[in-house]
Amino acid sequence: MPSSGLILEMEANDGVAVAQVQAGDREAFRGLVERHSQTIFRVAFRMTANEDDAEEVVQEAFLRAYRSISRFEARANFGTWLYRIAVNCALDLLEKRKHRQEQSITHGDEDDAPEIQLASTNPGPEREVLSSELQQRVAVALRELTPVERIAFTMRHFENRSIEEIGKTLNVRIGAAKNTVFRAVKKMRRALEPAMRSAV
Amino acid sequence: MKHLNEDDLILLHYRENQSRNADAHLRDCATCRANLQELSRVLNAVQPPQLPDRSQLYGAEVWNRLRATLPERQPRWHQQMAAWWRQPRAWAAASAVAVLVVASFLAGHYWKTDTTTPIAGTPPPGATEKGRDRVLLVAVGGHLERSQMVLVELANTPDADGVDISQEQRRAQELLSANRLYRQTATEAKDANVAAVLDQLERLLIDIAHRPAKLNKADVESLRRQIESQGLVFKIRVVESNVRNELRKKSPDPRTPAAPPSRQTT
Repeated sequence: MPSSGLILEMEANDGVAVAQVQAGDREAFRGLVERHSQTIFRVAFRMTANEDDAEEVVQEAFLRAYRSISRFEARANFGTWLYRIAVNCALDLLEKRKHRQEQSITHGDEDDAPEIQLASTNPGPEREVLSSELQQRVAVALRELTPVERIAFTMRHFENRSIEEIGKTLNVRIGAAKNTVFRAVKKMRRALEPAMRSAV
Repeated sequence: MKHLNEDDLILLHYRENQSRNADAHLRDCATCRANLQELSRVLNAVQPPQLPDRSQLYGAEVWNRLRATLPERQPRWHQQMAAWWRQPRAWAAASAVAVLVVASFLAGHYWKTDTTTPIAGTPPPGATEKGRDRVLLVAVGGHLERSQMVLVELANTPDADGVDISQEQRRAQELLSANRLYRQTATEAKDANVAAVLDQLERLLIDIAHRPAKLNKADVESLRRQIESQGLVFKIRVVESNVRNELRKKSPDPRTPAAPPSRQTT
């Protein structure tokens, strides 16, 4: 976790770079990309669970940010703004994949289903505790969520974002964000509880 | 007793529930506590997928892929201005311009003579004089305040080896050119007291700007003694306070109509 001093310095650097990009200096965007790529990759991978998809989201998020940077207000936090763009890119990608998947199922072509990458087989101490069966069930359960449920669940559960922030990011009312989180959690629970009971 | 439903438990698990009733109920109800524990057990088992490694150069790799796809941007004029203002050298340039403007105000303020004859239909000269004086006083007040801040920060530097004063040095350097002009103007205007304080400040600013950026314990102590022994911070405060008082006198009172124009002469 970066110190508050480092965060303030990053924000100051971001502010200068954003203003330069807004003034037409394309190269100034480099600093923003270099500072935020790791974070955006982390978010994208958590949402898509696929390395190639995560890379696509990273690329698309920065491209969208660059295109709309003239609308970015100097007093806002660039990191937060970019995070929201990345989440929406991930949502778009998941919806596109879902749509393609549904079409391929209709046409009997199941090979087009997106590949879900399970957690690494290189076990850390905590991961040894989780059975590989449970990990597979988690991956499958996440895949069964609708794109918006998966995004809301990832933000709330993995990224520790508040429901209010989920609402702002997805541009929905707080009640709608809350219901999406509820639905996602309940689905995850129904999918995982039987396996966990049998593991006890 | 009405038990907590699953939605309530989810909010409690994520600590999003603001309801005191739910907390109170949970304290008293073993069934709901058990339900929450069960939900938490399931949710705690859901861990994020392990992140594939990305090197320290990942940002540069993303940039290299992205760069070719970025279109040229046509900035809006205000964004160009904003970018210019955010550059440190822009501040130096703007300060220099401000100093020149203020110096010319000062010169006009001190050297003006009462030879103008009001012309019918033209705005009363006092109105613009008041505006000029206000700008001048604001600028001088700001300069003294900034100088004082640098000195106070340096005087409060902790006794230690390797103290980095490069930031204060940069600010001292920026203040120097402004100070020089204010001092010259005050000297020419025969305002000996202000000129003496500005002269003393100038010598100290030069000294700060030319010290090494990293000070050892002895240097820190010597610099602090130099600032304190001259009582310069106190003198600056006095001059600054006079300037602010003058400024208050020149500020129009919004509750009363503007005073009749009067030309101030020196």
